[in-house]
Amino acid sequence: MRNKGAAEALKKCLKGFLCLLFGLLCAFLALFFLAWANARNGEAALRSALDEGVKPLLLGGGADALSFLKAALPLTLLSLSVALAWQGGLYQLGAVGQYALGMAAALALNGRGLPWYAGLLAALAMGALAGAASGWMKARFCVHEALSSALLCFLSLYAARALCQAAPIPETVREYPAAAFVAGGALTALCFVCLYAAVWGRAVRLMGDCRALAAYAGEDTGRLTALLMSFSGLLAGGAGGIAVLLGAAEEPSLALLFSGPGIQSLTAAALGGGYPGGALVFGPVTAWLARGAKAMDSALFPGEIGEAALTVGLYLAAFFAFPRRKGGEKA
Amino acid sequence: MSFASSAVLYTAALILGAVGAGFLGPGWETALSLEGVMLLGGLAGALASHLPAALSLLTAGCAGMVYALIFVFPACRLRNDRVVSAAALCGLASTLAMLIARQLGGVSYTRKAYALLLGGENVTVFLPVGLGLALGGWILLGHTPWGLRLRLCARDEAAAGRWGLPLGRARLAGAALFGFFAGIAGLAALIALGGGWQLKWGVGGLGLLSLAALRAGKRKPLPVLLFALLLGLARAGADWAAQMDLGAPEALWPALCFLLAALLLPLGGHGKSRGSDEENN
Repeated sequence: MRNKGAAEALKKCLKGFLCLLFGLLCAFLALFFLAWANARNGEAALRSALDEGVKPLLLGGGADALSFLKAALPLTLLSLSVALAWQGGLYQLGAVGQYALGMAAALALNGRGLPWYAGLLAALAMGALAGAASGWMKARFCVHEALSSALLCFLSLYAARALCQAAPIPETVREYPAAAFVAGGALTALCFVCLYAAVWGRAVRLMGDCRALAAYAGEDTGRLTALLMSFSGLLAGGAGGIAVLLGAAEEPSLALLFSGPGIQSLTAAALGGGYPGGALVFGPVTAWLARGAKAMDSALFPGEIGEAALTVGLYLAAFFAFPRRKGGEKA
Repeated sequence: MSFASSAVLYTAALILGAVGAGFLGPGWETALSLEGVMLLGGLAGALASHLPAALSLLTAGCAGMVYALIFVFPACRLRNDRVVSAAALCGLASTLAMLIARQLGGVSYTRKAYALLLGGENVTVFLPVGLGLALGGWILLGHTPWGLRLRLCARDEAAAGRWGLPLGRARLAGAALFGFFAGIAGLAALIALGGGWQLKWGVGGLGLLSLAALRAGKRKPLPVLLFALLLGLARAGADWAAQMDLGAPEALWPALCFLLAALLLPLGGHGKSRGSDEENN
């Protein structure tokens, strides 16, 4: 049974990889047409598309390993939060809102005479609260968590922005990279331990496979839902706090949702087949491509092409790689 | 822009979005792509804003329809995870909108074509257009045999197929109408959000507010209209409060609007789960 699960996860990750390849192919075609519109010569356009478009995109911007890890860690944690919720059969579309809230809370407490973990704890708490709200609505009022989490995502993004306007970001944000990496590792380990080694995790995975069976087995699916969304929110909020500790924080705005960590985290989780292990693989891959997209020559090739490649990959993953649900159960 | 114009635009956007989502059937999953379709339709309409209002509205509707037919229809018809595909469509629409805007060197539009004076107040053409289209949509969906077939096909494809209902055509028509209404809603939304609004921010969550109004109203015409009006007024009030500089952060007011929408969500349910998610949603 365990081997079957691992084999299934690997198969879905391979499908996700193929979806991403197709997305990159679409990006290459877009780069070629843009280059051809400038050059009007097929060979020059092809060379331009490859040298100034594809090469920086695939090389990830050519930055050093540390700066790549600083970008990849928050995104990977965000993807993990989405994948964790999926394991319980829930859609976590509010992850980036919780991330922004966590980031805003950590920025508000950064450098105000408090220890480094104060901001992180505040970020974890804010993320958990925001996630719990969506889970509670599902459990108590049967509101589809995709709708409630997406709505609360916008609420969180605006609230985070309001928090940053009320408590302006300090001139110099104090960085604690070592602590951030340790915290990120600890949160990831906690996620895996809770999901695969704890009794609670077995109940969550049972609920993800078949909600009705979990209820029949005596599990309180409402409580599990609220706890799972809360834990997922905690990871997302923690990602925001860790981004501040790494010095990778940005001002919260709605742009995070569609052209930033929002869509990127969902892409990484979906390409990974909805498995936390897959999110750990595709999180860094997505971060790599996102950095590469920014490194392209923006005069010729807009960075949005990299984002378009990821969203095409996500769209295809919905058809081929992500576990399909039918009537609330995994197919 | 005056409060009245702003309120009319936001309400029209919300009610048109809600009616459009109604054509996709009872499931919420695919309708989550409303944000993306509204953005692309709104962008197309804004680019055509120098034309007469009718043409601009038609452009917006057709752009939304094309996007919905290319991407939303396969998501309705083929086996896929609809929430994930809807989220992908929102992201893709945002990316496409920004690419188009960048290639055109920015997007500027004029509101003159949409002006309509009523009692000295500019209520914009979206007042009659929004009400007329919404009424037409509700009649089509709720009081015609065609609408009944559409709803049945969306509700239970297997049963509809067994009884010989034309699934493919019904879903195609549903997706087309969804895109058309969402496109016009997006144009209203972009005009309401104003010239300083950036496309990378989408349509500011107005698609989700439409879905919240639809759920809170339990898909009944009058309650949905009233909730759309409430949320439209709240959103217009948020813009007004932000302009008034009342001593609170600017972003607080739209946040309160979404908080109101979140508080309205439970109104559309039946309390604790009594069945599957599809029954209760």
